[in-house]
Amino acid sequence: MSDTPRILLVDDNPVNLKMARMLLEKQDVQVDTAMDGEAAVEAVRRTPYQMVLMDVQLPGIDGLEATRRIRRWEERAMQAGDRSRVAIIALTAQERKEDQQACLDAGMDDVMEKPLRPEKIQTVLKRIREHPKNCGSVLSRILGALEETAASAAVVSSETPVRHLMVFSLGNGTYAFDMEYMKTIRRARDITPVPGLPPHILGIINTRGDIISVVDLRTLMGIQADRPPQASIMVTSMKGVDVGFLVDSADEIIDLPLKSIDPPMITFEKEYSDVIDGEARLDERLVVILNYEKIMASEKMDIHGR
Amino acid sequence: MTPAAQIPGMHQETFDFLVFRLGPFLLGAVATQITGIRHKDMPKNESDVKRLDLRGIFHLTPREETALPPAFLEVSGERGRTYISVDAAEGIISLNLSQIRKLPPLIDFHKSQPSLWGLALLDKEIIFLMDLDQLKTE
Repeated sequence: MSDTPRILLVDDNPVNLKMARMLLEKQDVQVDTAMDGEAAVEAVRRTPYQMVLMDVQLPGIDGLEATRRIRRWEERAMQAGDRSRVAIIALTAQERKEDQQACLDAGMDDVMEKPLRPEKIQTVLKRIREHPKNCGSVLSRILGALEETAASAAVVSSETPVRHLMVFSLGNGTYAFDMEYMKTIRRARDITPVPGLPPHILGIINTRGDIISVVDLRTLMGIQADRPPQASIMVTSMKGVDVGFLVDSADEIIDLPLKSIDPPMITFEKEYSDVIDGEARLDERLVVILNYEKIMASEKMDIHGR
Repeated sequence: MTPAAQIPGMHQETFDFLVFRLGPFLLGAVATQITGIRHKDMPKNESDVKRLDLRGIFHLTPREETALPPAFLEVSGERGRTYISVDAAEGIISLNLSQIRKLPPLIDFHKSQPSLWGLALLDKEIIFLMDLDQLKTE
């Protein structure tokens, strides 16, 4: 077996797939993708993966049914000695215990709440590399270790303090939010305008029954530039409130050493400079790091201070 | 008039809304709030009747002169009898409770109209739900 773990990533949102793939490949993982449950079942039959990261809500057969089918097929294949049990981890935004239990009942090994974060992935991959042939049996340890991630991350950060950032584009500028507030990314379409709102609030989107407000970050930040035809919505979350931010593109996830972050040099009006934490050089670009909590507390948002 | 949230039937599984169009928006109000719908025969000499232009209230551009005549929703409430002009009355729709959502917090906080209280999810459209008795006119 190759040293490079091979993972199947199943998600029907192409932007989420792209971002998760980017995160995983940064960790030297071979990533295959599938966008629906049936394709996932077929992929597992064809290829001996070490892990499947399975979105629960999928078009056609959902992640639960796909897992049941994989387990039924696997049982026969294992009896014939063709295959060992693959670890299947649910990726879900559902925090309710009954939803998480449904994943386990379907045959999944555990549940990982979205969004995927670099430290969660690192911990999982470390365990896969340590136990490449019997990943399923160590899953409980892997996922138990996820709970310790914060502590281990703290140890790492004492050596090389970094800030996990989602980098995105707005007009000619490059900006970043802390990853901890990121929930998902989707194409900017089907935004329903709402009557009687200020111009920086574009309306709402319906994500499988969840209604999320969409804010034009360009207008909020006073950035003058046309909106590109294919923009993205970064869905963020804080204190249980989800808000989508319209940006030109969600570009990459980076770990930025704290020492590389400088005080802001770009001149913004005070209203905007208050929400900027600093700037950093990234390749040839200057990344402006925004303070998510200050944006959410600003006068134009102000939903948590209410 | 009873606030929309307390109207009998609101706690049952389905209830009826009058759906009406205003510019790009599809809006709805609990059907029992509306006592009548008028089109061409809008009364002109009723001194005790108020008239509200919903486009003006939402700061939308005035209707084009070539557009079809507006519909007037007749509402009898705390402010007496009121005719509210809308672009078109689309009809009555029966909504299941599972189709109805509160407004997201950001929208609820920044909405200019306190009468907007929720939304209903249809297959391809979203109806914004209003309590016509709570219309803010200034």
